[in-house]
Amino acid sequence: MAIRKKPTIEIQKFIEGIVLKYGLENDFIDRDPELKQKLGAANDPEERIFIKVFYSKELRDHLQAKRPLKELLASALIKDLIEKFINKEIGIEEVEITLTKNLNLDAKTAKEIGQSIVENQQVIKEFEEEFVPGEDETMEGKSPIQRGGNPKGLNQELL
Amino acid sequence: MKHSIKTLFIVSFCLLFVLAPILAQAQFVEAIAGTSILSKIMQFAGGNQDILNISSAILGFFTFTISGIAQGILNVGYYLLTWVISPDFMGPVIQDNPVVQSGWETVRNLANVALVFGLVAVAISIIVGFQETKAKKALINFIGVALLINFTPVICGVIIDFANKLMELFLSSGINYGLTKNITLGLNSSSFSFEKPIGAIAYLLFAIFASVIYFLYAFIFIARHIVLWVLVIVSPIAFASKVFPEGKYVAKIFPSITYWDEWWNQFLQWTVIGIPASFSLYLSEKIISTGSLVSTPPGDISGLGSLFAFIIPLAFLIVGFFVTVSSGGQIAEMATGYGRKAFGKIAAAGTGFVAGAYTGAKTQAALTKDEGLAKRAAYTLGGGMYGGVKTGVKEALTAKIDEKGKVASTAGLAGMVKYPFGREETKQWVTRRKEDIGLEKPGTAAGMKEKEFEPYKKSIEKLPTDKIREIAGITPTTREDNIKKFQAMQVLMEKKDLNDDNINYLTKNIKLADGYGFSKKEFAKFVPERSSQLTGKTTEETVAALTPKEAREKISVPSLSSLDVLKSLNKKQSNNILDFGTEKQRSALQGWINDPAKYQELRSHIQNLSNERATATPERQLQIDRELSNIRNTAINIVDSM
Repeated sequence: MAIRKKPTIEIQKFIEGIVLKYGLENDFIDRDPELKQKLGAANDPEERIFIKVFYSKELRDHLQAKRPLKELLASALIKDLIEKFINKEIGIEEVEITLTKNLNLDAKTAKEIGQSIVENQQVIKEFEEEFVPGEDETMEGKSPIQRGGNPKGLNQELL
Repeated sequence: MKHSIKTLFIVSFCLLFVLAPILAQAQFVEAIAGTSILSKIMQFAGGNQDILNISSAILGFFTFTISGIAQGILNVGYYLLTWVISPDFMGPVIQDNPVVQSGWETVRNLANVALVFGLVAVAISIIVGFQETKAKKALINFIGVALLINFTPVICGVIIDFANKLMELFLSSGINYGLTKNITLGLNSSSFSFEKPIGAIAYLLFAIFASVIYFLYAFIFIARHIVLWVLVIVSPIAFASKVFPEGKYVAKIFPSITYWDEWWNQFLQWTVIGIPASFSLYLSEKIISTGSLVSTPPGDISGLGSLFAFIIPLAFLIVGFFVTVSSGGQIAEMATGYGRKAFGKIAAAGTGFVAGAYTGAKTQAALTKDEGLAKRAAYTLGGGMYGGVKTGVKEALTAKIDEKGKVASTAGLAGMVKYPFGREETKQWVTRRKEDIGLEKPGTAAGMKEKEFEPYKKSIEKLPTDKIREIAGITPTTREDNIKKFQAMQVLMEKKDLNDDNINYLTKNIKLADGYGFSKKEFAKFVPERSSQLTGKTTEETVAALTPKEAREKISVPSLSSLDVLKSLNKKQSNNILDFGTEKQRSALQGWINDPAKYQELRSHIQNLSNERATATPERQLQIDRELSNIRNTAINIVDSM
């Protein structure tokens, strides 16, 4: 039995880098002048994540409508894919397909992003590490996930 | 601690001020004129002037000083009461009293104005035909009251005079000086020794009890005079209010004693309050003048017989006082409060002295067991006196007698005496004193307390929540009630079921709750935003000391909606609460994004912090950065969880 691993803050910073590099959230940012102005002055990825989630009215409305964040933010979608990936629920192909489909990316860009994900040291670490609850984590409130068969290693996955 | 020193200083100053003339006239003058102070001290020490040793000198000095102070206070109390009950103390209540006369005239004119407005309203009502019958009936009342308000001093005067005549009947022979005299004589003659300590301590306690009761009676009589003045002055308004219909607006125009019902209630209470008080004084006077009412006990306790000569009249005075104030309105309630406090403090000081003396003497005896007999005795005596005075004063200053249920209301006089001597609590308290002077290991008393409360908690835990709430809501009148109440609160806290009322009550009474086994530390974790009031630690310090799991398990749901708590939660803590917490906990945190008001509050706070940071000291900047980092991480976690 295991409980889900979650992308660390380092992975989230990495995601922010991808989003910035490929301009995946430009439309979302351009729609909100205040957000654009605040993000313009922020360089730290962590601060950028906070600004997006805290100051965007569109995002808050979206959440209040109980709609998933990944429908609105590319970073949330990528984070969701990485979370599934490090928990070995999907393979890298699915990551690329989903990116192409949901973010309207061309195959080349999607492949590039997929590649950078699987090559990221933090992602590799999380992917390979078995989740062991720390003394402050418990199993309560989470359904155990049954994993069938022997999970593939990242190298096998890439083959 | 500062408060205690301040209190001690004020009390000492007052005592010095009040007693200086008395002491100067009595013992000191006598000492200078006849015998020397030293011989007086030696007399109090019960020793012989020729055999001077340290122990008897210390003992003599303490006994001499305390005896002098006690006599002084007792005499002041006696003369004050005698003066206050004399017929010419404040002159007449109404007739020829310029304050009452001029005040009454002004109020009567105001009452007439009010009646004119009322009459206009009645006239309009009749003209337009609105509730005409009612208005016509009111018109008759208006006319009647308009006439009556001119005679309120006569009406009040008749009732007050009747009560005064009854009081005079009881107080015609004044206050018997016998009790004061006997106690004073006893204090002068009784020497303190560890072999026979009862006599001296008993006289001292009688002196203090008697003086307190004299002061309280004096307070009641003084208050009666003043309150009756006020009530007569406002009587025209109260009479006028009688004709106005009852309603919330009328209650606002005629607040408190200016409204008839309240005025009449207070007037009757304060008029008759002097009668039971006078009767109690009369009875105690009769008992004192009758002489001994009890036979002499046989054997070793033969000395107890003479003590009853003081116990019985004092008991009558104390019981009479509580009977008197039980029907005496707000000021009498205040007097009752002072009475409870005073008796509680005296009892605490007395028991403190005895236990302190016991433990102090025992320690010194143990320390000097290999020394010579004389040295041992001297040290034992010194240790006893030091321990007694220190603990007695400490207990008197720190005794919590505020709670109504703690002393008198437990069951009148019996409860008043019983409470400070409650068996289990006394044991724990003596153990604490022993801890203070190193005879017991630190924490022994705390262990005893825990052991005592454990069975209560276990039985409460088995009850349904509704029942536990009921127990937590009781008004405690006994020690057991207090234990049950606070153990029920403890169980509710552990079940995260404390409501706002419970939380406010506990915050206000945390010292008391702590004394009855409610965990102050755990409560600070439950409501970290109040931790400065509870433990003196900041919210940030309290939250920072929690592991993520503890943060989830300990912090209450309402506290998660507190900005102070939010900015203190670190990333792991907020993550743990959002991932593994209850739906209510998650909702409370998500409210910071979902709820527009909470969101605005947080947003403004972030803005303020950013503005402040620009001009803050480096130290404050670090603190601001920490807060902002916590807020950012928690906000990201919250959005992730939605």
